[in-house]
Amino acid sequence: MLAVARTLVHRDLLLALRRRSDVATALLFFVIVASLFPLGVGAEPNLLRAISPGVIWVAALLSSMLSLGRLFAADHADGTLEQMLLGAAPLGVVAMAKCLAHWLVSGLPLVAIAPLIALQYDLAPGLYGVLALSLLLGTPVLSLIGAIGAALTLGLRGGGVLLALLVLPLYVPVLILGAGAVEMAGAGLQPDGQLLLLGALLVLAAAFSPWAIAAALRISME
Amino acid sequence: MSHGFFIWASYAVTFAALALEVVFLFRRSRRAGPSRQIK
Amino acid sequence: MNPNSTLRWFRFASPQTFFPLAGTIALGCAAAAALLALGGLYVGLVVAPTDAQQGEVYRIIFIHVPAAWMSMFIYVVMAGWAAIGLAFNTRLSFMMAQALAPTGALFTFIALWTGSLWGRPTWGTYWVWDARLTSELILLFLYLGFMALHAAIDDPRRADRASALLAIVGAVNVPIIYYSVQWWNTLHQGASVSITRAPSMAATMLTGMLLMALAFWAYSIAAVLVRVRCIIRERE
Repeated sequence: MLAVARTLVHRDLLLALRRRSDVATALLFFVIVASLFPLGVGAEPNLLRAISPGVIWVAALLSSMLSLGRLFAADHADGTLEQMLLGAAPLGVVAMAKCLAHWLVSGLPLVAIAPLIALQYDLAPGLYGVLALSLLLGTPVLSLIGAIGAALTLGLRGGGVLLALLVLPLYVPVLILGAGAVEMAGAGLQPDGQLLLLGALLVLAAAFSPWAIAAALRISME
Repeated sequence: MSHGFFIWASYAVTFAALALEVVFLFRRSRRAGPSRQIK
Repeated sequence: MNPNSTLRWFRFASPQTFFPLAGTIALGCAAAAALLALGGLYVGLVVAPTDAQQGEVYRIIFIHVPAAWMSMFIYVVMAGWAAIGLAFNTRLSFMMAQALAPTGALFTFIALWTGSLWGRPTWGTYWVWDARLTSELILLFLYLGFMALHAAIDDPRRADRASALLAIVGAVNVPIIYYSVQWWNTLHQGASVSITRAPSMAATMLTGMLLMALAFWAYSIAAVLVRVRCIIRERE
């Protein structure tokens, strides 16, 4: 089972590497969205510093959501997904592997890029660690929950926007905890509560999402 | 805006919305065909 | 369990058998709703005393709180029918879930509307990022997402099952969303009073609220059963 998972992750990473532009576009989107806010609210440094955790987190949410369309679409189009459904490997393991690959390519880079955005917003340097940690814990949850939505909206017309409507309400707790952790640290308090709760959400999502994703895939593919 | 306005606006919109739902339901009911279809 | 009694209950899982029963219950509940609403409105608008702090405006509570209760209750029932549908593969269960959604969304809207109008005279703004109102807003999005997903899928069976799974995932998330929003709200608003809490619960106020809640409940049952009869006729 582990061998299957490793093969799948390796395969998805290889495919993502071949379509580098798709991956890069989602990350570029992250940067562009974050750059739009100062243009909209004005460049006042105190204001930007105050809103930066929220802005970075919302940008991460939107970027993660945009890249979800790629999760199953290619495999669905060329029939590989059907083979996975019929195959011997448990569908939950398949789902978990695909989510892991998706996160490595779409979520983890956000953790690396976020400090650059934080620099643009003049966030206090001491908060970079909390920001990165909150994103590190939160982005996998986004991938896991988002995958449920991607599986449900497989092949539907208007799928991208519908996916957003379905998945964004479910993202709200992650947003609140993630941005809240950084704001808490910014206020001089310990962000432990938020980070631990984020960890708990990650554990819950990792435990239950694969089942839901598998069920959703079966519903969409029968 | 007097406080009375807010109370009336709340109650009026609520019951209007519920009435609208009933109206839509009856229109849907008529469109769906007579009950005799179900044996 | 006696096989005869099990069969007797599962008999109503057939849309044809359920159809006339739904009609009878709907009629009864509609009448009950009218009576309960009259009683509730009488208690709420005539009997209950003027509040010391908020004056007459607090009377919005007799709609706002029951509507919010119904919006949450209906979502849970909807998710329940979705789960039963996925577990037992019964068509009628999915139809019930479909029938519940619009009424649930309507009550969510009413809760948001009345909450907003209550906020204006008491807090000065039409929208307050109060924990309950924000959670209600997200609940509305969950309802709309459920209906949108079902509408976007052409195949009825896939539409039923996909939206059912979404409802269950949403239901699991509702407590998490509620508590995270509540926690977020206390962090950002400090010691401000929640606008959904009435200053002091006199017995008459509580009676009025309960009567209106029961009225909304009876109304919901009637509306949902009429709608499910429409759905049965449309599909069978």
